[in-house]
Amino acid sequence: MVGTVETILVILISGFFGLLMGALPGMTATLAVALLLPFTLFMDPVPAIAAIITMSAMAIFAGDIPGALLRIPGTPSSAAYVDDAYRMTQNGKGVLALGGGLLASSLGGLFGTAVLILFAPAIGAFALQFTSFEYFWVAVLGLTTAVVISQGSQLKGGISLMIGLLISTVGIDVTLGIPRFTFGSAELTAGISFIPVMIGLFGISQVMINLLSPDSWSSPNVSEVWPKGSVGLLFRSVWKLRTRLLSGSAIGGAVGSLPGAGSDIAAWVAYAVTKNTSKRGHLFGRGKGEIEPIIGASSANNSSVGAAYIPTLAFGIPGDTVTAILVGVLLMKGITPGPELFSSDTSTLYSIFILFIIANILMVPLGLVAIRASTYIVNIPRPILLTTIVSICIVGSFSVNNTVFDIAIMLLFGILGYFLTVTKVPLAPIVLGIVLGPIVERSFMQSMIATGGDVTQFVTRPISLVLMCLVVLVLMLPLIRKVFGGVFSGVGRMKMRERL
Amino acid sequence: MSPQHVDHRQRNVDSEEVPGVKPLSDGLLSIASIVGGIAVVLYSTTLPTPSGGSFGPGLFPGIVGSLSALFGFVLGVALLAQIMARREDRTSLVGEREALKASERRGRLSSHWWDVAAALGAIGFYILLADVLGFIVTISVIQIGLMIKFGSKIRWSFVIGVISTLILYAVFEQLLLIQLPDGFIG
Repeated sequence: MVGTVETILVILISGFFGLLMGALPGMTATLAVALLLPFTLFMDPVPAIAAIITMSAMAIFAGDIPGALLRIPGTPSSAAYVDDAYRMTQNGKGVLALGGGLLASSLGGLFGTAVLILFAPAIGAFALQFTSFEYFWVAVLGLTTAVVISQGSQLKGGISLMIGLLISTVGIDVTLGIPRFTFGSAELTAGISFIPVMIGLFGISQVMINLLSPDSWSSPNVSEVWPKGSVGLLFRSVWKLRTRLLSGSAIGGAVGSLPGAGSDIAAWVAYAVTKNTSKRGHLFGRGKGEIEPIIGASSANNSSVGAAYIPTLAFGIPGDTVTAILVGVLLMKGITPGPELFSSDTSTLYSIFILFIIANILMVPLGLVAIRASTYIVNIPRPILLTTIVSICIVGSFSVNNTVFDIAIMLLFGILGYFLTVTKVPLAPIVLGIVLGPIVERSFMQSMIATGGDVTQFVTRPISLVLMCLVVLVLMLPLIRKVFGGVFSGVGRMKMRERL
Repeated sequence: MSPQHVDHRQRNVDSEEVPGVKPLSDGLLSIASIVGGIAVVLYSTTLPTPSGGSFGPGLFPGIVGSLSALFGFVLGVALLAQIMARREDRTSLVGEREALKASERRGRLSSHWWDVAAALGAIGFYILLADVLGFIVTISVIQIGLMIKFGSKIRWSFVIGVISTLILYAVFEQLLLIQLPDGFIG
């Protein structure tokens, strides 16, 4: 299935699209995936998965490009080491900063894929023992983690999650088939379409944000990135830092596999660990810039991309926003992520593994082309770019059900997404709420009906009890952070510094 | 490019910080969460419950609404506590400086809100007129109009607007076989 002409074409096109979107300042990997959604609607499942995997991996690497050239991280995942990359480019070592990041991203991505291949089947086999009680707790764990580790206030993360859960309740209810929140509208009876909501939240709101920051539109004066004879130096430098690459990849693999954690958190944790353990840690983000944090954090953010698919594939619980969107796409295609994937739909599962390997290998040649073309990419005129995004958003939303109602939904959620961003409410929990809401409700109602309303089953079954304890532990995480500080406080300080 | 200039731009595109925009009051968010949550709870009580059962379709929205109201309430309380603490700390000099900066920023931003209004208006324009004018005409008008509004040269806006519309039409109508509105062209 992976070797078809359609899939290969999709991989190449989405790879270039991901590089383009990631390299544009202010455009995120999630926005790129949201714009891609209407196209995936018309693809078979494997090419659709290929498009999302390839594009998100490429976009996360390409986020390094504007970081190195302009000191503007292309995606939040690149923010951790933006100072070092920019300083190196200013000192004529742009190829080392970007090329080092590229190699680290590719190798980190392959490491994350290995983690995925090794652990997902084992966890999936374990999940076969789950009943609706355990699924309820796993889904609650995913939602809780998303809120607790969400950027900014956890309360706002909670509000964001409730918005997502509420959206998921619109339409026919999952147990008795009674319409809810439809107010007599035929369009709402089928529920609110996932794609227009995503396009609105991440596409239209991003356009509004960009329109209100015209300072970032001016043509940048970028430094020389690719002086002659620097490629050999690049490979030697990365080889010297192979231990750092390995530790960064391991951190990315561990953080990425947590439900709700994303590549930006993986990058910040790896940066903090690299800084705390390196002899040159005091020089990070200063002077001429250092390649060590770039290698550590770049490998971590791409490693986490693969690892984020572990909870997604094993439990059907998304690891981050992009995988949450992927789960939505899979459900639309009639594929239910979860343990069944490991017993009955192994061809899709192995396709996902192979696609990850291809995407991470392909990242090197495509990334080198993107680095060479970087000065042109960051100069794409913003009026043309933003106008085209608006048009793609309109057509993309329309194409879901061939109705302007979905465009109105997109508009509504675009405005909502903007105001939520302004009030610093994270958007990721909304996506998780929409995707996991029906799972939480269905598993809860099934359990209640099966036991005649006996809620004790949720806490007396051994696996349920363990999962419930994990939920409690996650809820206590902010307190644990305060008490133990350590790495997390390092991350917090650096995030704070970035925001100042 | 001066380092100061770079710094300013970095802050502007930060995913967390909305560029140059003063964040809306958390109070509004708090009130919206409380009011919205209560409305959802009230609505969920009107949903039918199966005979003999206590768990109906209103249970889950009811829980969601209650939590929303609770989070909104806690956020409001935290905000009030913050305001009280700030009142004690704030010196008049800092307050004046902040007010001046905010007023300058508001002045700069007002013109960009028209760009946002144009973008959102363009979407409304498509919703209202696409069936009448058809996809090609409507999207061409949107593309050209927005590019000119956002500062592109008129000649380039026409050329790029028409070409990009035709590309979108080819991709969605011809390649993905989506029935886009034909309008009066038929």
